[in-house]
Amino acid sequence: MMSNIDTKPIVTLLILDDDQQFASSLADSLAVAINANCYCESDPERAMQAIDNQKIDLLIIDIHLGDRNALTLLNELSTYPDTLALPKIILSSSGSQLSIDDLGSYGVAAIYDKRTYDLADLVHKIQELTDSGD
Amino acid sequence: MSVEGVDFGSVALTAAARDLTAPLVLLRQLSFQLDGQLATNESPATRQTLQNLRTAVGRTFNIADQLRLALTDENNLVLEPVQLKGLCHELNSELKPLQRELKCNLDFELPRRQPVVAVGNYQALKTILNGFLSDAIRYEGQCHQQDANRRIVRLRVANRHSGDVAIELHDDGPGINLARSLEAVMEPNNVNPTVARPLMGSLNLLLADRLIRAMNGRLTIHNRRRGGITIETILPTSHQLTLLEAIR
Repeated sequence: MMSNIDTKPIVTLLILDDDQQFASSLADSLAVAINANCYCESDPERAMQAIDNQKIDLLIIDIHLGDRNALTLLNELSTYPDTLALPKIILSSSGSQLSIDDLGSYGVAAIYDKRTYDLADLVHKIQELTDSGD
Repeated sequence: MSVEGVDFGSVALTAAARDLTAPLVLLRQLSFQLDGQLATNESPATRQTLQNLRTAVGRTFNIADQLRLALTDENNLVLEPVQLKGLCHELNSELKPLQRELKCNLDFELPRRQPVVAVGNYQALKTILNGFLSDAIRYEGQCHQQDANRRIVRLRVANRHSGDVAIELHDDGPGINLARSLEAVMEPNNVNPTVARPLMGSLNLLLADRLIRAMNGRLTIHNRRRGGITIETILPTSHQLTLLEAIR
């Protein structure tokens, strides 16, 4: 059981996913679990603006974004040292077909398959990557 | 709308199987959301219900995967070296919730310090074995209703001297009558009460046989004398790792 502990620092996350219902539900779960403050975006350009305008600690990215994909964004982010250093987690229905060896150079720290991921594992990874755990 | 030369039935089924993904993924996530919103003193039974919901979603995913594979042209199946230790580890972790729900354990037996690498299609093999194991877990529970300690499904993986890999699954569930089970699949409305064990979720065994043959392997199934069945999958061994060892 995860609980909302107010003394933990607030982590600011950006969720890039074209399924806004999924993104909103995930944001709610992460707010309850780790007091995360989540921005949800469905297209890469708006995600880029959010990264520029907000102090984002970590990105959660879906690869398939309707008729687009997130690889262009990952490539763009990898060209600037600050955005390359931003921890990124891939959460995609194709997660099991993706390899950290291929995406690690984009600053991707972990890959989860939406069909099988466990929220507790994801929360643990976010805490590990943002030093927001106990 | 008409598109010449397109097998509408196959395209529609493939699209339907793919389109299932988004709502199922959402259902799973909503169960996590509900879990988080529950008061901390909520009964464990409620949380177990949410876990069971996720397990049901996982089973539906597997059916959708089977459907997609069934519609795949077996000649287009990509064959690759498949590390069976890693595959077993992944299957065990995916099937943990079902094991917990039905109080049945999976026991994997693999050679120590020895890689077992078959030539096959990873995704297809995973879907097939996931289907076999899920069914075995369910039937094992029916067989040992009173004694949870005896509910063990065994999967044994071994390199064979003949240069292939054997994957054997044993359970204690009811035996299978292939002919009667096939009849039940062909006429789903004509429920035959003598079929103790329908054909592995209807699709899985038929599909498995076709795909395993496309991987240059073979599938055999037999009833065990003291109850239960053994499903043996034989696949060619990959010599990829052997070659790597030689280079080192």
